[in-house]
Amino acid sequence: MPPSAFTADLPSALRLASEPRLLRTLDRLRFARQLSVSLRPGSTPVARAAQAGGLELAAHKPYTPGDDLRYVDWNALARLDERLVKTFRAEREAPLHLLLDASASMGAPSTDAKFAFAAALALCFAYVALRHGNPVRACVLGGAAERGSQLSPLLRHSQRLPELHAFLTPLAAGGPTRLAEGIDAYLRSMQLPGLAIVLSDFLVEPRRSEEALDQLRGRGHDVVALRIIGAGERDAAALPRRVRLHDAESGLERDVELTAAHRQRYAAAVDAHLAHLQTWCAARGIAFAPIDPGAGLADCLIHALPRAGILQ
Amino acid sequence: MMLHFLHPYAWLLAGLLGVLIALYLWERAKRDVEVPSLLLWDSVPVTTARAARLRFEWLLALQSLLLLALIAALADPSLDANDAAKTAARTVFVLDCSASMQAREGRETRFDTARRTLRERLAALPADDEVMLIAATQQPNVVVAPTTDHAAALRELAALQATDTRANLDAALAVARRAAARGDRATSVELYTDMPRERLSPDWRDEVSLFPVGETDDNLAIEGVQVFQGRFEDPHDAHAYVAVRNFARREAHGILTLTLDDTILSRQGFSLAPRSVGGFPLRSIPGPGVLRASLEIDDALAADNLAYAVVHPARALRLLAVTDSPRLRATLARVARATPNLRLELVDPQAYHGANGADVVLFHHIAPALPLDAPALYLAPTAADGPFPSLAAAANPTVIDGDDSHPILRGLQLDLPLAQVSARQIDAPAWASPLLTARAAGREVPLVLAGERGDRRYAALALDLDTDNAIGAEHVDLLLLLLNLIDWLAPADDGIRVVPTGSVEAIDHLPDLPRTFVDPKGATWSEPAGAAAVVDARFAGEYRVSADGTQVRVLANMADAEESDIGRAEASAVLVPVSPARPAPAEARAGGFGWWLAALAAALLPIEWLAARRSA
Repeated sequence: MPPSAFTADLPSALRLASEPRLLRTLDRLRFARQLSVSLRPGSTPVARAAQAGGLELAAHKPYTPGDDLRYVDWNALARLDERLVKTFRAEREAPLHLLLDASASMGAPSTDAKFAFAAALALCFAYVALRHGNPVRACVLGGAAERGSQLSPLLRHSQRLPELHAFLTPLAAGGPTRLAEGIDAYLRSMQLPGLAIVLSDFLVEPRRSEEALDQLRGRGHDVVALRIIGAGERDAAALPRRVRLHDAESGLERDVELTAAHRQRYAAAVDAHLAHLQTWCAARGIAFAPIDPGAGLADCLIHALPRAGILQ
Repeated sequence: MMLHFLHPYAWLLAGLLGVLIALYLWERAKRDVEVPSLLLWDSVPVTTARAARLRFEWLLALQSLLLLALIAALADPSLDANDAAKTAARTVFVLDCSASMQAREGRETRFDTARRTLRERLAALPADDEVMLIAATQQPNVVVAPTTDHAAALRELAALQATDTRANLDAALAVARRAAARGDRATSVELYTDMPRERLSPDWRDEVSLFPVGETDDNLAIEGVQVFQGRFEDPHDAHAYVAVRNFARREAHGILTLTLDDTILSRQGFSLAPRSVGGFPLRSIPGPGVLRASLEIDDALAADNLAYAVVHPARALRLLAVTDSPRLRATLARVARATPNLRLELVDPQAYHGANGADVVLFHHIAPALPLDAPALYLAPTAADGPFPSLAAAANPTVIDGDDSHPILRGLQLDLPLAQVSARQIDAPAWASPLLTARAAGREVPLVLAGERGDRRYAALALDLDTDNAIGAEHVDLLLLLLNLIDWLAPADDGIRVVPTGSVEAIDHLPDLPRTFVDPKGATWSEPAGAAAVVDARFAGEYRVSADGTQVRVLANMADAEESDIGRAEASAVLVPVSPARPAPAEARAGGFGWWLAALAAALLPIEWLAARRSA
């Protein structure tokens, strides 16, 4: 299998995500899709929501009885003899939910470094969110989590980013994929709707992954699905001719003889899986992007994610 | 029907089959690969081991066949429907063992290079090929008669060594030609020599495969050591002369050391221009002994860096002259007075009753019958029934021929002034050789005859010295001839002989007991009593033959300018042995099908490629 440009060692990957040069790049980025139903004031303008008080004047509206007389525009009354009331744009928190798949499939093939890359990417997302005053919470789905998920502390300031770093560092890919169970458990913990980014290889039955994403949508989250797929998984050309395939999660084996036709069939199956996921997400307004760890963190953050409309 | 391979060692490549099979086994070995999920592999069918094995074996068989065809093509097989003995070939190897083959070329000598090449050629021959090995020395030596036992030939080849003599290549090649003329097998002759093809006899140039070797001309040689000492001269009055020649085409430097027995007489450094000769006189010799000249120089050929000469001790010689001629008596007395260590006794013919201890007896006119009790010189014998029968007088003889290599005539002007000298026409006996021939009265007249009868030497001088001034200032050559005759008749035998390498020296007068030989290389061997003691001086240096305390030393000098001139720049641009095309017999190669196998391999190649693609 071709070696990944990214390291499979999680601590090293997280150190890469914390490099000052990369952080300077992240300083210029923000999430293109932000959703907040929170009433907690923040620095994120919320277009659909209005609030009585605020810093940014949004518009004027005719006075109706019951409006707060403090927001009557007395200058307009004096000049126009109209009673107008000032309205303001709401600036609230836009929580970011990072849902990181830690199943065994994220660790295979090891050369793809999918899990390490996904964790490093999650750290970068958290930094971007915290830089703009949005709270961040990470949830590890599957892996060593006993109840399907493992929660990080809720972070509200970028100075607490090391806590997320410390939370992610000991993690390891292992166990079955528990997207639906993990997300269900996460949603039960009364999380405020926000931007939910799912980082996974989605290598489960499609209905299971669709069920998980639907759960997020049902709770009002703005969902982003990032399919982590490396070159080793996408291309079977580097595999030997006669192989015994081991399923990283189930341990099941399958003896195959990889002829050129078989390799083409596999590539077609991978493409079909991606296409199905993309189509399904598009139909439901879920942002979707395949992410190749081999391209590197910077390339992903600067090119791939803005191109997918996730960052800007 | 016999199958032959021109290059049987190509079958060593069959080991590649093992590599091929190992690669297949490695390829067949199932390797474990962890994948994220088998979800995406459902479209790839599960393989059964049996199906895989069958397909692999089929491809392996095809590739094995291709490889075997290639190897067999390299081995160049041929089928011969004729009798095997007719198809098998014979190769006659002629190896030059001359002195120049000992010249060093880099790390090894020319001889070693030639022998190594010959060994490789021999090892590459088909097992049923006959080989014959001839060592070309002074005489051709058939070391290995035609045989298919290549191992024995290799053993004999390993035991061969170059000698310090020249090689008679013509004789060796003639022997090889005779072997080739037998006709029972196709025969090729291969000559391994440093002699350029141009210097080979034209008869051989096109018949033999030549493996030339040799390039360097870096050689200095002692061309000769000459001691100037008359037979009757005291060693203190003798002097010597050493000639050293630079055969290289560049200036050479060396040190010449002259020793007399174990005493160093001189040691001097010198420089010689390219292709030049330097002379080194030794004017004073302290006494008798073996004069040894040696060069200290790191040149290519060592055998000619050493030479010997002998300074004989003074030894008085008693000459008994049996004559009644006052004039000859006076002449001989004058010669005796002028010649040191020559003691003359005169006696009338009537008073002669044997040599009486004389070393040589001179008979004037009379010719006593043989055998005598001492070597004798018959001077102008007149008797018709003596050992040198006299036929008639021969007036005004004129010299027409002579053997100037014989010690009796050495150093003489053969054109003797014989105008005032009368001669006798002698009927030469069968045991004596005419050394000097003259023409007189329209007939050839032997003037000097010499030979051995029994164990004594006898000579006759047809010239009558009983004339006025027969030996004097005008006839100094006659005086030298007389002294040479006396010297030859009673040679000063001090047990040391100096011979050129290549000569065969018979050692007489040894006790009839087992004798021991030691050659210059230190080899020692013994021969039983009764056998002739013969020294075959193949190497330069000192041979010792001893029996019961009696020792004879034979000093062999390699004074051979042709062998010492080792430069072969003009020989060939190829300085290492080159193998000409093997002259295989045409009928033996007629059934060759190596090219067909190569074509088969070429045809299999695209099939294998297609099959491999299909299987992939």
